[in-house]
Amino acid sequence: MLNFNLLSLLLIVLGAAFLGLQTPQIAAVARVYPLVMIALVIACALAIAAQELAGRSATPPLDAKLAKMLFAPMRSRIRVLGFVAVWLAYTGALPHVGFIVATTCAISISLWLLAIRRPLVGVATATAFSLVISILFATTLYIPTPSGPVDQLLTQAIYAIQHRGNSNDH
Amino acid sequence: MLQGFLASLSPASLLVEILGVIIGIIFGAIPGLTATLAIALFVPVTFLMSAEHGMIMLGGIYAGGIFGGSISAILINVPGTPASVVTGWEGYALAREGRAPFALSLAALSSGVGGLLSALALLFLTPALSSLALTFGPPEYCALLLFSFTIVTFMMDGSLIRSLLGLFFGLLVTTIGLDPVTGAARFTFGNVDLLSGFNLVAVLVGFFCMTEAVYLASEVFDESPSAAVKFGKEREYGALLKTMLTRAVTYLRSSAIGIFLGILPAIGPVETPFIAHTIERRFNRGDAKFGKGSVTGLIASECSISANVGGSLIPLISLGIPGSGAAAVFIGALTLHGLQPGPLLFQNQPVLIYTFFWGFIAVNLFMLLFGIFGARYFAVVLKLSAGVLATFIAFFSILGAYAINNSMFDVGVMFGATALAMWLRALRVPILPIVLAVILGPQFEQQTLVLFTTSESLKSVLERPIADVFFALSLLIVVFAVGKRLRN
Amino acid sequence: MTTRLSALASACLLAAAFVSQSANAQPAKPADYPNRPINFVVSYPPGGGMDTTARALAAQMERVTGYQFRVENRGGGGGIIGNTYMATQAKPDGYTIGVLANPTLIINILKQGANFKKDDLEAIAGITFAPVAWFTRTDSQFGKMSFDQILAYAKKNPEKVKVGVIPNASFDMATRIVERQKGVKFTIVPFPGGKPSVVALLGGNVDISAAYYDEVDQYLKAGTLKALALADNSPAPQLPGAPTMKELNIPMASGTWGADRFVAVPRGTSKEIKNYLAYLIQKTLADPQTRDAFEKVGITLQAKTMAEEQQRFDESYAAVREYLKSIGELKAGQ
Repeated sequence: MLNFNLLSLLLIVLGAAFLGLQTPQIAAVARVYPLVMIALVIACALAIAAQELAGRSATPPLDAKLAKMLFAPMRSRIRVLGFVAVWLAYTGALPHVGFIVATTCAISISLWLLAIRRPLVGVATATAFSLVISILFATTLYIPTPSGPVDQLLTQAIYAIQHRGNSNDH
Repeated sequence: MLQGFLASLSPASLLVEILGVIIGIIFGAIPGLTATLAIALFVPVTFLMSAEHGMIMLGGIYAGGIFGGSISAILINVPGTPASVVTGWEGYALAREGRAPFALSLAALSSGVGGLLSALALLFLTPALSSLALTFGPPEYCALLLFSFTIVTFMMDGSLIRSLLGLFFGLLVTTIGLDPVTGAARFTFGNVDLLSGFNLVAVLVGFFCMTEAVYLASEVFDESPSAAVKFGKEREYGALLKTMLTRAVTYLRSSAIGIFLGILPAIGPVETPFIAHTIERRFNRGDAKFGKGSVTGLIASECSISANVGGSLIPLISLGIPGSGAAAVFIGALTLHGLQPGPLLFQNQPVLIYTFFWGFIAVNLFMLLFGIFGARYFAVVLKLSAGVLATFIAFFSILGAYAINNSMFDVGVMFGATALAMWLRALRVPILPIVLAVILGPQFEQQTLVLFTTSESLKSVLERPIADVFFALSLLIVVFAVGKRLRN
Repeated sequence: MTTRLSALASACLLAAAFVSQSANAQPAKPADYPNRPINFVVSYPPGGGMDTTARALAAQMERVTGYQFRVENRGGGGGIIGNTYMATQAKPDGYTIGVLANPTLIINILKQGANFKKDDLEAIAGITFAPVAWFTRTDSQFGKMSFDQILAYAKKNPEKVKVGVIPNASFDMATRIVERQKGVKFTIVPFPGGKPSVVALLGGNVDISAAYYDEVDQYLKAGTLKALALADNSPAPQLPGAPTMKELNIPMASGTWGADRFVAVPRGTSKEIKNYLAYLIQKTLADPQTRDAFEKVGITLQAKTMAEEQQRFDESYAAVREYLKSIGELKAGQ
C-alpha cells in the first residue's frame, strides 16, 4: 500500500509539474493563479509523501466498499471489469452503430454479465427499453442521440406518421 | 396578489403543478439525469401553455427534481442529483437501520418546509432581498468562497493535508480551458473540446453515479452481502410530527442559510447542503450520529437545498441574474415566453408574477404530500437486484453526461471522473473538497481577478464589513482546526 | 397538438397565397426533403441570446412551413466547440443547420486557431445584427457625461475608468479599438458573460459595461442605466439616443463589432437544398407575425438574403483580420 501511495503522489506531482511547464505560453495575468495552485498541489503531495515515508502518518483506513471490491475473488473481479468494459465499448460504438442498436446490446450484455438468470428476458427488456426511450426522445424530449440506420428509419417513420395526410403540406 | 392566488388554484394550474412535480421527481430520482437537464428538456413543452403555467411547470420540475434526487440517495445510496449527496449520508444510514419510510417522509417534509419558507420570502421580500445580490461585489464573493472552501476542508474529519490536496487539486483542474483574462486557451494542448474545461455535470455524475454503479456491480457477487436495506412497514406520522416540532430551530436556520445562499448568484443548490450541514453540526456537538444517520443532519441538508431553489428565484425574477445552471435555463424560458426578467417584470405583469409565486407555493405543498404519502411506492426500487440497478445507472449516467451538452467528449469526462474518484478513494483523499473546488473554482478565480484589477488598496477591501465577517470566520475555523490537531 | 394542426393549416394557407403571388421565386422543392425533423445547432448552452434566437426561429419556421425544426445546443468554449462541430463534423445533408454568430466564428478561425476554415460553412441567411454598446449607471459620475467627455476624463486619468467586457470577443475588441483610436487607457475588467458584467455595473464595481441591448433593455426602460455609444456606424433603432462611432469620429468597421446572428450550412450541402432552405427562411422572416414574435423575445429582425449575408461575412472577416493583424494577434498562417 505504501508503494501505491507513493507512486500516486509522484504521479500527481509530475502531472502538476507538467502543467507548470506549460505556463510560459500563458498570458502573464492569467498565469499567476494556476501557478499558485500548482505549487500548493505539489507542496501537499510532498508533505503527504514525507508523512508516509516517516511511517508516522495515521493512514486512514481504506474505504470499506473499495476494499471489498479490490479483494473480491477473481471470478467476480473479472465480471466487474467486464461490466466497465461493456459501457466503455458502448460509448465508443454509439456514434458508429447508432443509439438503438448500441443501447440494446450494451444493456443485454450488462444484464447477462451481472447474473440475470434468464438472458432472453434481459434481451427483451433491453430492446423494449431502448425503443421506448428512442420514441420518447424523438417525440417529446428531443435529445439528439447519435443515430445509425435503425434510428434513421425510426425517425422517418415517426415523421411520416406525424405528417400523414400532409404530403403536400407545402 | 389575491388575483394571482386564485389563478394559481385554477384546474389548469393545479394540473401543471402536479405534472411538473411528478416529472421533476422522476428525473431527479434517476441517477445521472439532473434537474438542470429536466428543465432544459421541458422548455419547448411549455410553449404549448400560457406563460404563467409554463413557469409554474418549470418551477415544479425544479423543486420536484431536487427532492427526487434524495429518493435514490436514501434508498440505494446513489444521489439522483448532485445536490443530494449530503442527504445520502444521513438518509442511507437511516434506511439501513430499517427507517427508510421515515427518512423519505422526513426528506419530503424538510424539502417542503424549506421550499415553502423560501416561497414566502419570494412572495413578500423579493424587492427587499434582491438588492442583497447587488451589494455583493468581488470582495464579498472572494470572502464567501474562501469561507466555503475553509468549512469543507477544515471541518472534515480525517487527514487535513489530504483534504487540502483535494481542494487544490480541484482548483487546479478548473484552470483548464479558456483563461478568464484574455480568453485564450490554457492547458488545452490543442484539444478543442477542452476549451470549455471539464463539464461540471459530467464530472459530478462520474463522481457520484457511475462510481456507485461499479460498486453495485461488484456487490452482485458478494458472498457476504452487507445487510440489504429493508423497507420498514410502520408509518411514523406521529414521529414525523414530533421530529419536526422539536427541531423547529434547525428548520429555520437551514432555510435561512439556503435562502441567503440562493440569493447570491455564486452558490447554487449543489454546494448549499455542505455548508448548511457543517454549520448545523456546530450547533449539535452532542449528536454522535451526525453525518452517519442523524435526523437533524438530514433536515439541514434537505431544507437548505429547497430553500436555495426558492431563494435563487428572487434575483432571477427581480434582476434577471441566474444563480445556477438550472436558473439560467429558467431565464431563457421566460424570455422565450416574452417575459424579460428584470426590475420591470413586477410592474408590467404583477398578476402573472403573483400567480407564479402562489403556484410555487402550491408546487412545494404537492411535493411535500407526494413525498410523505407516496414514500411507500418508491420502495419498488429496492425490489430490483443490484445487477439491474448497476446496468441502468450506468446507462443513465452516460445519457445524462451526454445530453447536458450533446457531446460524447463529456461522456469521456464522466468516465475519467469515475476513475479519478476511485483512485483518490484508494489514496484516501476525500472527494468533497474536490467537488466543491470543481464547482466554485472558476468563480473563485474570476472574482479574485476582478478583485485585484478593480480595488485600489487593501484598505478598500477591508472597509467592506460583510467581506470582513467571512474572512474572520474563515480564519477562526483554520486556527481552531489546526490548534485542535496540534493538541492531539 | 391543436397548435401544431392550426399551424399546419395556416402554413398551407400562407403557402397558397405566396405561390399565387410570385410563382417563379420559389425554387423547386427537393425530392423527399425533408423526411424528418431539421436540427438547428446552437453553439451556446440553453438560456442565452443565441439560444433564444434559434428557438424563436424554429417555432416560426414550423408555423410558416409546416416542417419540424429542433434546436440542438452544443455549447462550450465561448462558441468554438459548436462552431467546430458545424464546420468539421456535421453532415451536409440539409438536416443539420447552424444558427451561428459572427464575429465569434471569425475570431475562432483568425485568432484562436480553430481547425476549420471560413469556407467550411456557407451562410444562407442573416437574422439580425446587434452592435455592442457601452452602458453606464445614470446615478454615477459618468451618468452625467457624454461619451466624448468620458474619453476626455479617461485621457486625463489613465486606468481610472473601469470597463467590463467579455475577453476575446466583440466587447473586448471594440473597447480596445476605441482606446487605440482615442489614445486613452481604461482598466479593462474581464467577465465570463454579458450578465455578470451588467451585474457588476449595477453593483458599482465597474463604471462602464460593454453589452448587448437585449441584456440591459429592462434597466434602460427603468432609467437605471443609460447607453453611452454604439460600436457601429449606423444608429440602432432600439437605442435612439446613443451616438454612433461615425458621429464620434472614431474609425471602426461597420456591421462587425456586435452579434451578427446568421444561418449557415456545412460545405457540401446540395445546392438544391441550400436554395430551398434559404427561400424558406426568407419567407419566414418576411412574415409580419414572425417579426412580432421576435420583438416579443426582445430581438429586432434585420433579415438578410443569402447573397447579402455572404457579403457581410466577407467584409467582417476582412475587418477582423485587419484589426488582429494591426495588433499582432493574428494566428500564424491566417
